[in-house]
Formats: sequence, structure tokens, C-alpha cells
Amino acid sequence: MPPRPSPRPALLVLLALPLLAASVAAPARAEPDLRWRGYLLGDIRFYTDDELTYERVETTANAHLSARLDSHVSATADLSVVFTEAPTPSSFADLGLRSELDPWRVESDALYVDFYDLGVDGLDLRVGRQQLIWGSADRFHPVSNLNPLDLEDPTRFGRVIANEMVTLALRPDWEAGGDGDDGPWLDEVALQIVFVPFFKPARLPRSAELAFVDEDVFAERANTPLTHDLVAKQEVLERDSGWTFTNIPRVVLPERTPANSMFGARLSGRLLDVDMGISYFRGFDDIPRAEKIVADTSGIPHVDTDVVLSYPRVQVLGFDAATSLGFLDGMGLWTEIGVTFHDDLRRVISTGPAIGIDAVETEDGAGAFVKAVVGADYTPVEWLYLNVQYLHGFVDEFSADDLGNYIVAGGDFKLAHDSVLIRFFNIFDLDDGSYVLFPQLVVKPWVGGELALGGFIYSSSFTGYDETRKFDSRAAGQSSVFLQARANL
Amino acid sequence: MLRSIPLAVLLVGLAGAAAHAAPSFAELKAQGAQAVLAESDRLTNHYPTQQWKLKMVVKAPGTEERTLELRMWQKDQQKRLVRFDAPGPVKGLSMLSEGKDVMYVYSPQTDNVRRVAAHAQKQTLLGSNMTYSDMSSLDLADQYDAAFAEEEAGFQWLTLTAKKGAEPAWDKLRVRVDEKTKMADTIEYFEDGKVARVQTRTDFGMLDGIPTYRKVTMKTLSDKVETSIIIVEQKIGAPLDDGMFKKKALVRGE
Repeated sequence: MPPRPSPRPALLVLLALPLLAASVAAPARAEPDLRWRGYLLGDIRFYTDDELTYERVETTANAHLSARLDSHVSATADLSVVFTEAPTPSSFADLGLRSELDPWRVESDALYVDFYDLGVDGLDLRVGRQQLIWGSADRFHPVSNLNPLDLEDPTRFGRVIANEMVTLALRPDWEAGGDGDDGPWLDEVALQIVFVPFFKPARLPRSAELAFVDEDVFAERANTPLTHDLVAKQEVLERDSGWTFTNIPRVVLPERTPANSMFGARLSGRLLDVDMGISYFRGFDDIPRAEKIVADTSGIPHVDTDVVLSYPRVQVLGFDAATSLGFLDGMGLWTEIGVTFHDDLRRVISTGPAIGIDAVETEDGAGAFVKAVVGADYTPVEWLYLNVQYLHGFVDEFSADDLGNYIVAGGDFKLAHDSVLIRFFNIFDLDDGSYVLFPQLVVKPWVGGELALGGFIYSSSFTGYDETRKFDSRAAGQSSVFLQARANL
Repeated sequence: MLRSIPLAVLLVGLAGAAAHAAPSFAELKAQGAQAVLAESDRLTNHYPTQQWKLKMVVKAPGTEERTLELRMWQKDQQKRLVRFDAPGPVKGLSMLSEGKDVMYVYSPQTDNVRRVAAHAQKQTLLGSNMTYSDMSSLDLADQYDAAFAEEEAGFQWLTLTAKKGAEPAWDKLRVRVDEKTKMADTIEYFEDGKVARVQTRTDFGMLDGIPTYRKVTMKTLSDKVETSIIIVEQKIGAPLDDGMFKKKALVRGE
């Protein structure tokens, strides 16, 4: 049963904004400066299987409002209502419930208040739901960990979920150098300090569950002597004794205590035309790992196995830089490097004597690993844009032994005076040869409206599923094609 | 390949310098073509600050007419802030230039400010024949050598050729200067010896006390794309804080 949406608090904030605007005495402004925008989106997708099964059918209405109430205060609210168009009545009573016949959910990417120049010029405070992306790369950010990833929709990779945060930023109007005709050699200096009270996990695609519940996928992901042993013993019991096994993943979040709150800080600036930043994050990785595997053998020959998923505590030191290479016709170049420190990653496997494993292992000892991105982009002619990035360590990979190497590359072709866009972005796994293709055709014949046709195609569509290859695994997902219609307001 | 047509060149004529005792056209002519061109540059660009509310109308064959609404602030010819107000796809998009190679973009989709490399300035706006780099301010006299060409009734044509060492987007221009305003009202852009684009300035009048061509139209002869920039509001010389041209202003939405 999907969770019931709780729109009331968010709607109240939106309704309160005009009241707040009216009630604040604003000597610098007679009336608040209100700006809004939004969009309507219809999204229909099919899996590319023989039956052309629907992957999703959703309609979204988004409104984004920002209100500058005073020279020192502003408020921002973003709200999306997503109708999932998938009725779920299971009883006659459900047929009388609109929520069962026409389910929907609310999402909000922003709901915060800003206070500017808090006693000191350039000292700003932002409180509320925020998305704060650190780093210079495109969509893949090893140094940005304050918000969890939203991986549910692969066509929107890079998307994050807003977190309730307190962000204090100091952006002084200070620069070094700049005498004569030369610009300053150091400027745009900023320090951000962020407090995130509650950890929030990443939103995972439906296929990710297969990594824990599907035998073959789970077997391929066994990465320690104990898990290999468990897989081997289960295979023997299935084959020789007719046993059946069901893995039941269960998520355990870090307790909501101040000790488990997250913290980040970033110092950035532009040094000799290179924008750079160094950052620190303390919190939790947002992708779950199996911490405990406990088999219940009381119902032999069927075994239910409780797979407890938890989130490793981490510290991340980050560095990022971006610049424009004038000697290469203004080509863009960027890099991000995130060094993740973690404690011992322990795992308990307890099956009792029937299967014969009761032990604690260390999946990975306390240590560190490095994820990195290096990328470049270029516009050779006004109708063509090219972008390429090398990734060491994908978003779901953790520990030094687990990191793969990838190329993300593609481009935009603008045709017919920008009313037609052909976009082709792809991800290649350099270690196993699997890949994802993401072609799109976007047509904008009239202002404000656009139609998009495209596909998100895994290499498994051509080679068949192969659990030894990242994008050929069933856990990665299934290829789909889509039609989207959008009106921008 | 699309060449950069500096927007501030387009906005030439859009703002004449006010008030100081300027030489007459005859006096300028006596000093030579370069002096005529330099005076046109002075009247166009040499203001400490400039602010505009603009409408950009794009007419391309086979497509519906599109209108962009934007606001622009400029200081010292180097610093520029542009905010797009309409239509929907670009609403909220803001761009900050702190020099030739330093540009930041605020994207409303990600609520994030990102450094954008200089190559991105080649990309066109909403299918127009205008690029992001056209927002730059350019003194033609710094990049071109001027020579007198023909004279029409009340107008003087100049032929401009690129100076040695300068790398303007166009090797050759022809500029028609109005002898009354001392400002260019027509510019022809040459590519491979032929006119590739023509810029015309019309609707001359006083705007905020400044002699101004309110409408500037750029037409590309090959694909017949026509982009018109219309000044809705203008303010010249008003104080603009340096802080407005910092990333902080983009983040804050100021």
C-alpha cells in the first residue's frame, strides 16, 4: 500500500506566503516582489518487452513561487503534485475512495526562508527544505552528499531529494588583486556551513530490490567469503533438497538523534580564473548495504531470510574545480574528487545449524576510497554541444574494491532555429563493456510547449541479461521508451 | 558559423551620451574616419552603468514568432547581469559575466549556480541569430580600422577592417553613421566578401533623457532569421553596486 500523501503542511506554507508577505513590515519594499513559474508534464512510458508493458503513466503539475519580502528576507516554495494514474482499489469500499481510484503524491524541491546580511554583509541564513549541490561536474557529484539521490527515474539521473537543512553562508565582497587592467587573482570567496538534522536515504528504482531478493542477482553481488558460502549452501539445498528461499529486505535508518545529524562545510572561490572548492561532509552514505542476514529455518523446506539494510557512516573530503580554456576556444574543463572515509563494514550472517553459517565478517575494513569525475564540454558550432565525463566510481558503488570506471558522453543537436533538439547521452562501463543509451527527440514548435520522444536503453536489450555486467543486470533496470508533453508556465 | 554580434553594439544607438560638449560631426569628420567611429563608440558604450528592460522578438521562417523578455544590467563594460522573465522555458534563468571568459548561470531547474565555459556563449537564444556572447560590450574602434566610404544625404558610410592583432568575429563591417546623432543606424556584416547580416536601428527618441534608438533589428540574409530588440525601459548612469555582479546576487536572485 503506497504511503498516504500529506500535502497539508506544504499547502499551508504556500497559502501562508501571501499572508506572511502582507504581515511583514517592510520599510524597503512597499509590496513583496513575487515571482512564479511552473510546468505541466504528461509522461507515458513503455518497457521494450514483447508485451510493451507500461513502465509508468504520470501527470505532474508544478508551481514554484519566490517572494522577496524585504531586502533581508525572502521565501521560496516549490510544489509538485504527481498523479500516478494507477488505481489500486482492492475492496468494494476502495471503489468509493478517490485516493484509491486516482492516487497521487506530493513532492517539494524547495520550501525555505532566506535571511540576508545577518548583521554582517554577505552572511546569509537559509532554513527549510533545500537542495544543495556542491561540485563542478555535470550530474555526477562525488563531493555532494547533503541531499540523497533520487534514482527512481533513470531519465532524471542527478536528481536529488530536498532535505530540511540549516545553511549558513558567508559571501563577502572581498577580492585580492585587481589593480590596473588585470582582474583580481582571488575573488568570489564563499564559506558554507550546513546542518542536516535527519538523514534521508536515496530513493531507489524498483529494480534495485532484485539485488537482495533475486537469487541470481544476489549471488553475483556476493563479495565476501561468508556471502559466497551462503549462496553456495543455498544452491545445494535448493537443488538437492527442494528448499526454497525468500529474502525479505528491511531498512533500518539511523536513529534520529543529534549524534546522527549530518554536517557539511565548503570553502570556495575563484583563483586565477579557476573556480574551486574544498569540502567536508560527515553523515551517512545514502545507498543501503546488507548489514545482517538472518535466516528463519523454522518453516523448512521454506526459509524466509531477513536482510537488514543499513547506511554506512562516512566522512567525505572533497575537492572540485572548473575553468574555461581560452586557448582551446573556450572549452570547459572540470573535476571533482571525493575521498570517503568509513568505519569497518561488518556483516552478521546467522542461519542456524540447518544451513550452518553463524558468523560476523568484515566486508570492508575501516579505510578510504576515492571517487572522481573529470569532464569537458565544447560548442564547436552554435547548433552542436558536446559533453564527456570520465567517472571513477558510480553513484551506487562503495568501498575501494567496488569502484568501476565509466564514460558518460553525448551531445545536443539544435535544429530548425532551436525548435528541434536531438539529444544523445550515453554511459559506458569501461570494465565490462555494458552501456546505457539515452536518445531523445524534443520538439518545440510553439513557445511554451514541448514534446519529447525518447528511450532509456540498457545493453541487456541487445545482449540479454547478464548479472556479471553492471548495465546488463536485471537490478540495473529494464529498457523503456517514452513520450512526454510539457507546458512551461 | 554564427559570428558574434555584440549586443551592446546592437544597443548602440540605443543610448546616446547625454550632455557633455561633444564635437560636431563636421569636426569629427575633419579628424578622420577613426574619430567618427570612436565618437559613435563613446556615445554607445561609455557609461559607468546601463540598465535595460528588453523584449527580443525572433522571427524565423517556418516557426512561430517568439518573444523573450529580459532585464540587463551592465557596469564598466565588463560586468553584466542578465535575467530572463519570459517565456516559460527560460523564466528565472540568469547569467552573470564577470569578464570575457568568466560566466555563471543560475538554472531554476536545479536552483544552482554553475560556472559555464566561454564556448557556451556561442549558443543561440531561443532560435534567434543572437548568442550569449552578443551580450558583450565592444568598442568597434578598438578592433577595427575605419575608412570613409560613400556619403548619402545626412549619412556617412564607413568601411571597417579588422586591426592586426585583433580577432573580432567579423573581418569586415560597413557602418552608416547618422550625421545628426553621430551614431550608427545601420551595420552590414561581411563574410567571404558578401553581406551576411544587416543590423538596422529605428524608432529614435529620448528615453530617460538619453537619445536612443528603441528598436534594433538584426537580419541574417542566408536563413532570413530576424531578431528585433526593443527597449521597454532604460536607465543610464544610475549607481549599481559591484555586489550585484557577483555569484551572491545570482544565488539570492537579486
